[in-house]
Formats: sequence, C-alpha cells, structure tokens
Amino acid sequence: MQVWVSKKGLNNMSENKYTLADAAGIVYLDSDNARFFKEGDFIGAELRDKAGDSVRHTRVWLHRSFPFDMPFEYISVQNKDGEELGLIRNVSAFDKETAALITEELERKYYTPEITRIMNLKETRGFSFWRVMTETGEQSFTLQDTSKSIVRIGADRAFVFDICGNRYEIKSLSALDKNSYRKLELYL
Amino acid sequence: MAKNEQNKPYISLSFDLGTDSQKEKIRGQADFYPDRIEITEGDKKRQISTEKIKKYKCPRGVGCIMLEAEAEDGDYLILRATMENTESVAEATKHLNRALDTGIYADFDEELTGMLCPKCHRPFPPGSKTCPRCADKGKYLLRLWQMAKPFRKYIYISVIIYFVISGINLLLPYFNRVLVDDYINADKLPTVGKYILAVAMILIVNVVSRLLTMLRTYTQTIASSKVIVRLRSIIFDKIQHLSLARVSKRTSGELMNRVTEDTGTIQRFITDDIGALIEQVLMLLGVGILLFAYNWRLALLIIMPAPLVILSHRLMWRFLRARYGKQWQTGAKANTILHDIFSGIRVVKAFGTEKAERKRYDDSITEERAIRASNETYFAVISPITSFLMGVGEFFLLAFVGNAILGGEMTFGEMQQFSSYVSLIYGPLRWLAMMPRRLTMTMTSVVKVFDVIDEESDVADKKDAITADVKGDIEIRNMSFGYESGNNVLHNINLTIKPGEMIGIVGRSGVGKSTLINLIMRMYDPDDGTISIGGTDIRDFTQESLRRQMGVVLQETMLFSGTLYNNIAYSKPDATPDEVITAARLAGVHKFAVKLADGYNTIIGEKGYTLSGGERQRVAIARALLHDPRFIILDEATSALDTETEKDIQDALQQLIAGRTTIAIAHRLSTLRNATRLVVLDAGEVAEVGTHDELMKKKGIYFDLVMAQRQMSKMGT
Repeated sequence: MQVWVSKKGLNNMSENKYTLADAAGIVYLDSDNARFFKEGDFIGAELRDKAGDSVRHTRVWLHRSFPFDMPFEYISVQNKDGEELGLIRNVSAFDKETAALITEELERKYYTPEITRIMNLKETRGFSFWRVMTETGEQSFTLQDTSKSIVRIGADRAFVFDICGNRYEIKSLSALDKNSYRKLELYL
Repeated sequence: MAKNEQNKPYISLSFDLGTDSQKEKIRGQADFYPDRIEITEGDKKRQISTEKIKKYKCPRGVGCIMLEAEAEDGDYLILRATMENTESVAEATKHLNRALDTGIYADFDEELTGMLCPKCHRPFPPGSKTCPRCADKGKYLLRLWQMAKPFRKYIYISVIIYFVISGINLLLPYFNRVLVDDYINADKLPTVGKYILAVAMILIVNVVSRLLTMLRTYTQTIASSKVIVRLRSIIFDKIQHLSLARVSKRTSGELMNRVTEDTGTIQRFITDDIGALIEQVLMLLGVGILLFAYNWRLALLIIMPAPLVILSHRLMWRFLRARYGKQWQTGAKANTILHDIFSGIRVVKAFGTEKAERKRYDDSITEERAIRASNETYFAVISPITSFLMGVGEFFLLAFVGNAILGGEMTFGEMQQFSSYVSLIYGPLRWLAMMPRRLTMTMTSVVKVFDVIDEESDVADKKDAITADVKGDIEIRNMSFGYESGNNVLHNINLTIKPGEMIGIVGRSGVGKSTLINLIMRMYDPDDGTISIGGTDIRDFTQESLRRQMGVVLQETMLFSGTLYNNIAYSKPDATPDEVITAARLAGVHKFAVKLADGYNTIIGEKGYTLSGGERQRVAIARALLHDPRFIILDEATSALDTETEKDIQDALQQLIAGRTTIAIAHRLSTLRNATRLVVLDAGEVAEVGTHDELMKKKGIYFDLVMAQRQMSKMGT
C-alpha cells in the first residue's frame, strides 16, 4: 500500500507516484467529457469516463459545494442515490447555452431573494419581525433568536434565515442605506 | 368514478414560486384529479396525465420546496413554493401517494393553516403553537398569578406593607418641617422635651420604616421563590415528558436556559420589580396629591419638566442599550473563542497554530475593548446631561420658592418639606420610565417558559392507557416513519419478533436501524402503520409500563456523577445490595469493582474515577440486568470497543440476553453471530430476513456486507 504522506511532509507530495488528488478520485466535468441537456422538466447529462465510454443519465441533481462563496463553481453533479458523478469546477467552462441550463437548474433549487432595504424591524420577546424590500418586492418574515439567524459571510455580506427555513441575502452591508443598516447593526 | 366528480379536484394546492428559476413570486394553483393534474402558474396553464405516475415526492431545495412526480416516462416538476408551504406540500404528498396506492381519491380537506397564526398569518416558530406576535401578555400574567395561588397570602402581606411604608415615607418631610419651623427657626425657643419628641418621632418613623422593609423583603422572597420552585419543577417535568423528537429540536443549552435563566428573570420580576412598581406608583400618587393639595401652582411648576425627563431618560437608555448589547455580544464572542481554543488545545498544539489563535483572540478582545471604551465615553457624556435635565424642575422650584420666602409667603420649613417631595416625585418618574423595558424582558421569559409548558408531547400517553404487563410477540405492520414531513426514513416495514428471539438489524449507516429501535421503544410514533406487542398497539400502553420491560445498552454509556453503586442501581433505585452485586457479577463489573480502593463506593462520572470503555459497557449491562426487562435493545453496544474487549463483554451480554427478546444493531457482523434471525434494511425497507446461513446462500446485500468486512479484516492482519 502506498504511504501518501512522506516524512518530508505534504510539500513533497509531487515526488511520490500518487498525489492526494489522484487518491481522492475526483472527476472534473467540462465540455470535453460532459454534455448537459434538458430532459422534460429537469436536466440530464451524458458523461464520458477516462476509457472513453459514455453513460447517459436522464436526470442529474446539482449541488453547490460553496453556496455562499462560489455559487457557480465546484458544482457537484449527483445521481438519484446522491452519489457524485463529477464536479464542475466552473460553470463558465461550458458553452453559453449549457452554462445557462446549469445556472437555471441551480437557481431553481437555491431560492434566496436579496434584501435591498429594511423597512421595519421590531423585536419582541426573543423574536424579530421584519418587513423588507427585496429584489422581487416587499416581504415580511419572522426570525427566532435574531443574532444567530443572521450569518455573516466575510466582512460585507450576510444571510438571514427565517423560522420557516427561507433565506435572504444581503449582498453588501455597506451598500445598505443608513436607516436599514442602523436597524440591523445591533444584531451583527 | 362518475363523470361529474371528475370535474372537482380531490386536492388543490396553491403555491408561490414558478417552476422556472425566476425569483419573482407568482400565484399558482395545482388541482389534482384522479386522471390528471391541472397546473395554473401565473397566466400559464398546463396539464399532466396521471396515467404513468408512480410516486409523488417533495424534495427540499434550499429556501424552497418542490413537488415532483416520478413517472414511467421521466420525472415531472409539479410546483415550487417557499418554505412556509413545507407542511402543506408534505401533507398533500402523503395524501397523493395514499390515493395512488389505494385507488381511493378521497377529498383532502385538511386545514393547512396549522403552521400559520390564525390572527396575523405569520408562521409559528418550529415546534410551537404560540404566535410570538399575537401572544396575549395579559393571559400569561394571569396564569402566573394563578400559579401563585398557594402563596398569595405572602403577596397580600407585602402589598399591605408597601402601603404602610409609603405612608410613613410621606410623613418624614412633614416632621422635618415641624422641626425646622416650630423649633429651629421658631421665634420663641421651644422646650427641650418637645424638641426631643420631634427628633424621636423622626427616629421612630425611620426605624419602623426599615423594619417593615425587612419584613417586606422577607415575605416577597418567600413568595417568589415558592412560585419559581413550582414553575421550575413544572418545566423540568414537562421537558422530561416531551418526546425525543421535540427535545432534540432544542439544544440542551436552550433547555437549561428555560429552566434556570428564564425562571430567574421571572423571579427577579416578582421579588424586585412588582414590589418596586407598587411602591413607586403609591409614592407618585401620594406625593402628587400632597403637592397639589398644598400648592397646586407650585406643583404644576414641578411637574412641568416631567415629560421631558421621562423622554430623555428613555432615549438615553434606548441608545445605551443598543451599544451595551453590542458590547455584551463581542464579550461573549471573545469567550467563545477562548473556550474553543482551550478545549481544543491538543489540536492547536499538534498543528502549531498557537500564533494564529492568539491573533484571533487578540482581535476579538481588541474589538471588545474599542466598543467598551466608546461606550464609557458616551455614558460619561450623556449621563451628566440627563441628570441635569432631571434636576431642572428643582431649579424652577428654587427660584419660585426663594421668591416666596423672601416675600414672606412661605416658611423655610415649608420649603424644605416641599423640596423633599420634589425629590420624592422624580425618583418614581425615572423608575417608571424604565418600567416598559423591564416588563418586556420579563414577558419574553414568561412567554418562553409557558411555551415549553404548553407544548404538547407528541408521544403522550392515551387517557385510558393500560399499565398491563408488556409481553409477547413484537409485531410491526406496514409501518412508515420520517423525521421531516414527507421524507420517510423507514418505509412500509413488516416484521414479527417472537419472544426469546435475538434479532440482528443490519444495514448501511443512515439506513434507519437506530430509528427502528427508537420506534419500538416509542421514542417516536410511526407516521403510518402500527407496532404492537402481544397484540396490543404500543400506543395503548403507558410509556412507563412499556419501558419497564425494555433494557437498553447503547454505544456510549452515560454515567452520572455518583458512586459506582448508584450508577448500577440507576435502573432500579430500590434494589438491595444483593441484587446489585448479582447483576454486577453477571456483567463482569464485580471483578474490577472489588479491586478498587473504594469498591462500589468509588465516585465515577465527570469528576471521579475514569472507567475504561469496556468497564463502562459492563456497568450499562449490569444496569440492564438489574432492570430485568423482557426486551433487550443493544444499539452498537460493543462497537466502540476493541475486538479483545468485545469478546470479553460478549460473555456478559450472553448473561443479559439469555431468555429475553433481543434486538441488536451492530456494525461488526461477527457480533451478531448468535442472532436467531437477521433483518437487513436497505433504503428504508426490509430487504432480507433470515439466518446467517440462509442469507449467505442468497448472496444478496448481507452476503456483500460480510464479504466486504472479511476483506477488511484480512487487510488488517
């Protein structure tokens, strides 16, 4: 059996025959070995393995590996049983049409309206009630344990999770108007 | 089915997202007929024939839920909706599948507003049926008051004392005036006796007031602590009786908070705030009446700045509260980091990340310092200003009264009495300005506490539950169960277990093995189908009589801090030492117990003697033996042990399961070699049942599992 981590440490991995990436057996999908197509209401894929054999999947499931940081990179393509068929490093590696197909499928699964303005935020008895303007219109929702329901991603982004399981994104905290920010500030 | 019935859908579901990827909300409706589904999405209409549909599913997206149909010619996306609709979509899916299986298209009229508050149409918090916005504050205070019923006499006494103390406090300025006007400032000198009398009166009033205050604090503390003890035991009891599903929804920290923090807030409210409220209101009324009776123009002058004072006070606190809230949060964050680093110190050292961790901690305390410093500065600036504003009334008074004295309309003593009243009136005003905030904090706790108390246990005993001896065959019929609605973990399970059998449950991890035994123990209730023992549905037994016949050994044994003896006797607190030693001997505890310096009296648990993994499992087995149940459940009882220790423990286990019905889960298949039958679960269903030999011959899933494990153990040797 091959010992991967040599005494010299990870930096010297390349001297060994096998790299960790080989061992992990990740299949990266791009336009060379994968073709995505619309099949009924969903998308399917035809994938070719190293030996050159093609397998046609009438439906594949897409999952974001980094939904917050990189929504269109490292997309896991899975079959019905949740087994990973391959990983898309970047959606833009495909032609425009395919990229649009994948993007649409992803956006349909991940529903996260963006909050552009906070009109009203009132806290009573451990819950907070929000009335906000999103890119798709006005919305009201409720948070339980407000501070814990707002997750900051980096310095300027935040996600808000309401008690039903809906999520909202604030793309830029600093871009919020002063009034909205002041309402939110206490919970950040 | 008659033709006219075809025109009426048996299920109608409304939804709010399009089946494309658009973010805009839409109005959509899906009408389900036996032969077709008609979907209206905005102004688009489409129709799906149900002919080829095999199954309905409601997979969750992220921030949305979908309803899909699995058909022979591929999958259909019927609708997409936001998460408010989770419950209704899941319920409808269940109903659709039932109709598909049975061919009976019963109307689905169930009210689907169960998740929304009927008043404001906002969703209830998960696991609760109290709308946080519409909860009636008064109702809860009334319930708190009802809970205090046995202790009300203490509350009445303290209210009476408040009246007396307030009266006396109002007397003090009067005596002061008498002292000044009639004696100190008098034209003719008074007799020494009268002077001493006046001083003595002041002294007596002071002493009586202090004594009464002591008495009041005493009665109030008694009242509040009795209410709180009652409240705490009710909550504790409630939490213990909630189902595992409900309890595991909340973190243990949150539950601890309910029992200790929230009741603490209520206690403080009863001891300090209610009393203070009565005192301050009485004072305000008393002083107000006196002032106006004495000189209404002067009184008006004094009261005039009051609204300003109240307003500035509230503004100051709103401002400071936000800032102090933030300070508290950054402080808590720094503490979390500290806690993280210390509890993971081995990892930190192993990877040599001390410097990075130090920087992380430094950054967080620097942030806290900055906020703290700026808060202190604000406070230092704001507080003198508001104090000044609050004192403004007294300047008015001084100007007015000074004038009156100079004009001979008022005596010096009267002025002193008056200014005492003025200082007495601003105290309550300031206090009352803060009252709404305190009330809100208390109400938050009260609502949270009653929320737990009101929660209905979803595995409650039936009213006419029987306490019969639980024995006989375990029969599972058409049983389905899922933790989330619409997401079945176990599907259509059928299984009969005879008395004395040892059943091994085998399958990949996550397949629902532990769920199955939790259902047999009635930690949860099945969504569909039944589990019965001896022909009686287990929901008809009281939970106590059911669990009395169930002995459990889990992978991790929870030892409570206490002696070894108490830990074994946990399952039967009234056991005799003979019984405990018998159980301990059978389980192999005795042989190591007698080697310990303190024997069975050895303190174990968090702060005591540390038992090895094997020893802990032996204690668990001894516990189960002492319990003497008919049914034994082994959930990976030996999988945390090395093979040597496991072999050792097996003998103890044999003592335990002899003659009892046993259901065992084990990853290591060799552990199950004594099983009379093996049940293989796959994808939430029973895939294979049989003895080891039968299943090996069948060369199915079990065969593959055994082969895979043999491969593994060959590699190990």
